[in-house]
Amino acid sequence: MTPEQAFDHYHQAVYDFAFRLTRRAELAEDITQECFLAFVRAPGRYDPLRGSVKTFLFAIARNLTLKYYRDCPAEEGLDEAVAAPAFDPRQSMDAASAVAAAVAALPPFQQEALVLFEYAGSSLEEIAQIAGADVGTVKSRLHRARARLRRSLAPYGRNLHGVVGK
Amino acid sequence: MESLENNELPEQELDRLLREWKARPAPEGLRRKVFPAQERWWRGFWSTSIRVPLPVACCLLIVLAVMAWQRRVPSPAPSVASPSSLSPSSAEMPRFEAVRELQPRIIREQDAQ
Repeated sequence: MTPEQAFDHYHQAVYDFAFRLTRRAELAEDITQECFLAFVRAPGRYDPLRGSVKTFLFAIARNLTLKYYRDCPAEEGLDEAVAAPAFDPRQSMDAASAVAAAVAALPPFQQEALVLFEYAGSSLEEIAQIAGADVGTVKSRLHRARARLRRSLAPYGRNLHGVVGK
Repeated sequence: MESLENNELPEQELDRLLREWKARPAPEGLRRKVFPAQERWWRGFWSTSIRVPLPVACCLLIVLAVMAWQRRVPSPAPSVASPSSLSPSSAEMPRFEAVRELQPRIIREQDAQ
């Protein structure tokens, strides 16, 4: 697969992944651009034996996103033990914004596992390859992320219109 | 609030809520940023700019002005060197001497035969 073909197939997915993790459009654009430029500059770095082009590209995007977390002091918390900013379900917002805020409140490793599984359609094995972790760890992160979301988004489950706090 | 926090969403309800968060479309100009070579060359030609330091620009202008002035002023006719100026020492050929008096001799065709 040429870089152009890879771009056509995956740029939307990579951008969406970066945006959901950073919640900043310009940053997500930069990450996507850097991700594909890395592939264009050194296509030989991709080894088909180690995984698909999709996993390769998502791994680059993930590393760039983690670099952003490291460089930005306000977004510290790579370690799952670090407390994430609290999500207050009492704030009035629509369901989509509430989900975005609740996901943002997850620790980064749980966020990436959830976003890759729920929104990028990646399998547990693919997420493990992207995150450089074993499948068991990914499963555990995903389970904890969903458990947290079930609690934090509980008020929205009862409200069919998707708005609370009004 | 306490009762809300103790409750948990069912799995299906969580899946439904997660689907509410829609994907954001990627910006349209992204491809051009990744593959700029595919742009037409003349577009770049018309939009490319260069930065020239002011002293360099001033020097270039002065050089161009001098060149233009020199082309407008006619150059003086080439001076003919006098025989006296061609001294053996100035020619740096010690075995040759400059002709002091020119005595031309016309050789006609009959004379040659």
